Amino acid sequence: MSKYLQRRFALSEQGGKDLTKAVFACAAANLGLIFPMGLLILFLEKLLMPVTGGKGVQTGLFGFIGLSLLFLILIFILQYIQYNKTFLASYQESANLRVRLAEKLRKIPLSFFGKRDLADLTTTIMGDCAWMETAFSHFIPELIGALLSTALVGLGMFFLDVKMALALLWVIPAAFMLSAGTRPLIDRMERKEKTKKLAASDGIQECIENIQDIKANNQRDTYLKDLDSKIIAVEKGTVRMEVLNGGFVTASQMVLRLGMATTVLTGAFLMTERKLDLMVFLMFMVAATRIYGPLTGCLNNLSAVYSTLLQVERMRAIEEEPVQEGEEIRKLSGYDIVYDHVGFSYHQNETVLEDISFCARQGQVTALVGPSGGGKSTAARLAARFWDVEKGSVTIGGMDVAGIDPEYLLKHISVVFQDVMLFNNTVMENIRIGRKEASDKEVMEAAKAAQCMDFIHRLPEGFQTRIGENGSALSGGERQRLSIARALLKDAPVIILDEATASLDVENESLIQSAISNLIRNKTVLIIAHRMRTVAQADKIVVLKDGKVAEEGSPEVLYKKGGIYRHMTDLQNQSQNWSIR
Amino acid sequence: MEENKNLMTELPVTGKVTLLTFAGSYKYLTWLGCLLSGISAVIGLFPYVFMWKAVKAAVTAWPDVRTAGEMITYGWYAVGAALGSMLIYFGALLCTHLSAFRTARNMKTVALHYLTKLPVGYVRRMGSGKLRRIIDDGAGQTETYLAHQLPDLAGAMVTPVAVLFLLLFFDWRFGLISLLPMAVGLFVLTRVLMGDMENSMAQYQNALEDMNNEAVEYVRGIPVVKTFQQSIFSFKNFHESILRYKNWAVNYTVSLRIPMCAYTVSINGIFAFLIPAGLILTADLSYGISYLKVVLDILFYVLFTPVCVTMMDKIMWTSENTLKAKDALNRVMLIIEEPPLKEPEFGSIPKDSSVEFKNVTFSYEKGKEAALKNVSFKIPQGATVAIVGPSGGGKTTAASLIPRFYDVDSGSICVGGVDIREMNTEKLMEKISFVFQDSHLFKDTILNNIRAARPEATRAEVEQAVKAACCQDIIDKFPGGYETVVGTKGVYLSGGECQRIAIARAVLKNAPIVLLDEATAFADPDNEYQIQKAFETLVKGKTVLMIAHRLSTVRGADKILVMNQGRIEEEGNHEELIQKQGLYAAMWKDYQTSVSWKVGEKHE
Repeated sequence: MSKYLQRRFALSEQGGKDLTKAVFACAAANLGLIFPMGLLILFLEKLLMPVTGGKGVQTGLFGFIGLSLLFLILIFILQYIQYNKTFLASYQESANLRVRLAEKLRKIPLSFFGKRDLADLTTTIMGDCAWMETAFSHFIPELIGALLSTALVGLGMFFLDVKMALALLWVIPAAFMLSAGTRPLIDRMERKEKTKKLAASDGIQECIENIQDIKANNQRDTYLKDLDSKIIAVEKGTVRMEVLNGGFVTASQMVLRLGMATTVLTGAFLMTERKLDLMVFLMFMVAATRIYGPLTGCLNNLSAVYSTLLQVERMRAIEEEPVQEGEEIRKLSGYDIVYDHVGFSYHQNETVLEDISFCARQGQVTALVGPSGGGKSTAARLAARFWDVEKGSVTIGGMDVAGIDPEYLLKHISVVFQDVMLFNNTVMENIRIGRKEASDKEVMEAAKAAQCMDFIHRLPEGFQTRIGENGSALSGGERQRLSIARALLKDAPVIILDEATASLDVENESLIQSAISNLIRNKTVLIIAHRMRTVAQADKIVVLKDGKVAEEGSPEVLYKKGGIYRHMTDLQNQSQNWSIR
Repeated sequence: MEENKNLMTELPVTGKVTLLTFAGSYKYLTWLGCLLSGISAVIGLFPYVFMWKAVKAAVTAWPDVRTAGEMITYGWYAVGAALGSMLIYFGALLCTHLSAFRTARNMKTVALHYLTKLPVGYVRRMGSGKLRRIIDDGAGQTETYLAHQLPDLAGAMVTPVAVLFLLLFFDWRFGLISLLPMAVGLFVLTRVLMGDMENSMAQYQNALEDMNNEAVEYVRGIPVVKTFQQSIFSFKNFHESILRYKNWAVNYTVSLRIPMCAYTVSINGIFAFLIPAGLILTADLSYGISYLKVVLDILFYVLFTPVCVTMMDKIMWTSENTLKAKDALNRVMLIIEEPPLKEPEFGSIPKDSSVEFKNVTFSYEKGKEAALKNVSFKIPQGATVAIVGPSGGGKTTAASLIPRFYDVDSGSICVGGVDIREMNTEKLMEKISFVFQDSHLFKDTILNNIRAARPEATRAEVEQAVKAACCQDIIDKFPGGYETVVGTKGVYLSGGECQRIAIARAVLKNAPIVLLDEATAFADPDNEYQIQKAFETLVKGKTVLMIAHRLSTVRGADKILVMNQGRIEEEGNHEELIQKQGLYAAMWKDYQTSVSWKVGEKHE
């Protein structure tokens, strides 16, 4: 059973064993609660001796009291064990689950995080883990435990009287089969409803995000009408689902209760035929009032367990994301970056890079330019193993980056991207991320070089000021400068600049430009920019268009060539001088 | 659609707002559901009585059971009552579910409709993700409470009364004896568990929330910490928070262990009291009618007492979801209690399209430093005014105040001589077009996206606007042309292209006042060029306020405002400001230098 549970619910080996123990503990505890029934029957037998004329029950008052106490203690012990095996074990397992997922997230390609709402991703993961906790401590052990104990009791019942046992127990498999049999239908409907739910959620998200435009165009009424109908559709769908679902659940429960009728009727019939003893009949009656209640709980657990399987699927999807492996080689011999017939696409039909080959030499500045969507940013990120190439290879210092551990690889690369990510921590710590062992003095020097001192001094607590979630207390330019300070602190041999100054205005731009100049001496620099003047003094220009290298060469040569580069440069020179009016 | 007639888009004005207020007319269904649930709970007790009657008939007639024909009748009654109880319960749940889903729906629609009445600034401040979670997820959280908990609560309140009655009815002595262990269980429940329950619930939620916040920080930070080889450290932090939560949960659970076991033992231990009592009370009786009556009564208790166990368990689990539902309600109410944009009773009409700021002071958050401090300036009709200055200086803020994204703290903004707060917001919006940095498109056809500005526009007018805004190439890029739906698979517009469509929209709208953010930095040279040409068309003959990021773009403006740290430091046209030799002149010089900077050059 342990292996089965481990597989089905994506548990660790220990988790599987623990869940098995929990199941047995539940079964045992249930039995503990059922055994007193025997004592009660004995008691009734004693009381009914005058009626049945049966043999005397020898047990006296103190005998019964003694036995009762024994049973009470037994119940307590079994409950105690069940408590331990369910709650305590499940907390351990779910902690393991969370840790495993966290580890996994650390190791999958950075690209995984690019396109998702991370807060939503986290909420889903954490919510699933919390659900699993309840599943391990309640739904699963109680379900299987109840089935086990019922099966044992049922077996006992069969030994007493086969016909009566049938009358009592036939409803159980019937109810469960009804519940399980209707599951596929419910699943199908749920999936249909899910699309509607998603449409409404997306609609709500869009409304909130675009509220500016909705108000600006006095579109409020039309837009809301549309959104309202989506929400109404969800309500209707959910009601339909509920009626169906609830109907089936109620039907199953009703089937269970039919057992009472069949037991009484069979008993009456058999007793009339004198094929049944009164005490046995009583026993079955007592059983009938006790057995169906817990089983109703079982049916509820069954649907909860089905839901659990869905969450397990989700977790498995994350656990099965391919991890980026690699070695931590001792030293890279040189920092030339060579792209050799590299091809890459995001999904099946979104080929971003067809076949690109070029070389960014150490000590040189190589600029990637080209129209939006041409693949520049993607190409640069491939060098840092944000994704792995599909065709060809990217090598640094002769070594294929695919063979290098991603985090180790990034040790040698400073990236300054357009979108800066900061933490809700102090300025000092945010910069220190660049190099954890750096001293306060080194951090401040990097900040100075990145032209940050003026705004840091203006902050209420200087370097110790907390900057809010993702640096919300700072402006775009200030955040960019912090990002550059980080890169300066790191002082890595390879630098990738992706639109590092795109969102800055004049004042900041010139300050940062001088900071970046400090950054790039003697390193391998890969720069992506839309501003032609920014790259006009690079050592090599690579023009990427439609996923291929369209032009390659020094700026002067390319300009003379009169191709795409020339066109872009001329166009931008024109735009440079544009003025409103 | 007919449905929309019954749609709740506003809360009734009077009285305290509870969850059921959102149920609207369906709130009667909730009450009905609870009533039915109570009835079902009581009827659910009948089967036990009927079973007992069947047993009684058998015992009385024993051994000649054939005369106990009523046994079979009672058997059927028992089933009838059980089935009836279930059907009624199903009906009860149906009612409460209908009401719960209606409530969730109304919460969403009321919140959304209200949101559109609030200043845009509110939405920006809260963040779209947070608002969506409050509205969408929050509404969902109330469902379990309304659909399940309330009817179960009703049942849990009614059942003990009925049970008590039945227990004491048959034989008060055995009734009391059965009550004893339940009383013990209840005692354990209230003293040890319930007393702490709400507090511990709160603590549990906090511990869970802490761990979740750490999780978000961790996941959000992975791209950065991986880049800086520190994922192992941030992982450590998260790891520790997981362990902390686990330890808290384990400790809490252990502290409850013995009470919980004691509770279970007591409510399941009725037999231990019943048996001795039964033996004692029948010991003195000789066999006869009264003896039989006592035994039969005992039989009832033997059959009936499992009900008590289920009942007690139900009571224990009812309080869990209440807190979540209350919390969700509070958060939605936060949105609804936010003061809306005040509309005037009778809107004044602006005389012309001039814009004037009079002593405007504004800060994003009360108590924080003001983003605009006593700003005053005039834009005469037809003039082009540009704002330049360091980032964070107030440029974007000033432009955002004109369409009333926020209301000023003091001072006033006038359009055409009329304070914008005295104007109907609709009228104000008709007079203003804006193209800001964050241009979003709707998940709709390109045609409709552009036509949103003026729905009555003909297709020819749209096509004209597209040509004027130099966007034809974007339309031609897609095989579906104007009918291409933005935001679906494969249809991807770059930031620059989105902005150009937004400009086409503004051209179509043809409003007399244009607010522009000139940021073209995201665009490649081709897009940049087109955007500039489009801007030229857009601003012809209009009153324009432009936020400029590059000084070269403002040279031809009628007036340039230099804003720094929330104040206007200098004012004038390009030549005047250069002559002043002040901040603008210095910025200009800086700009000239930086324009010539190139990567790789040695910089002094």
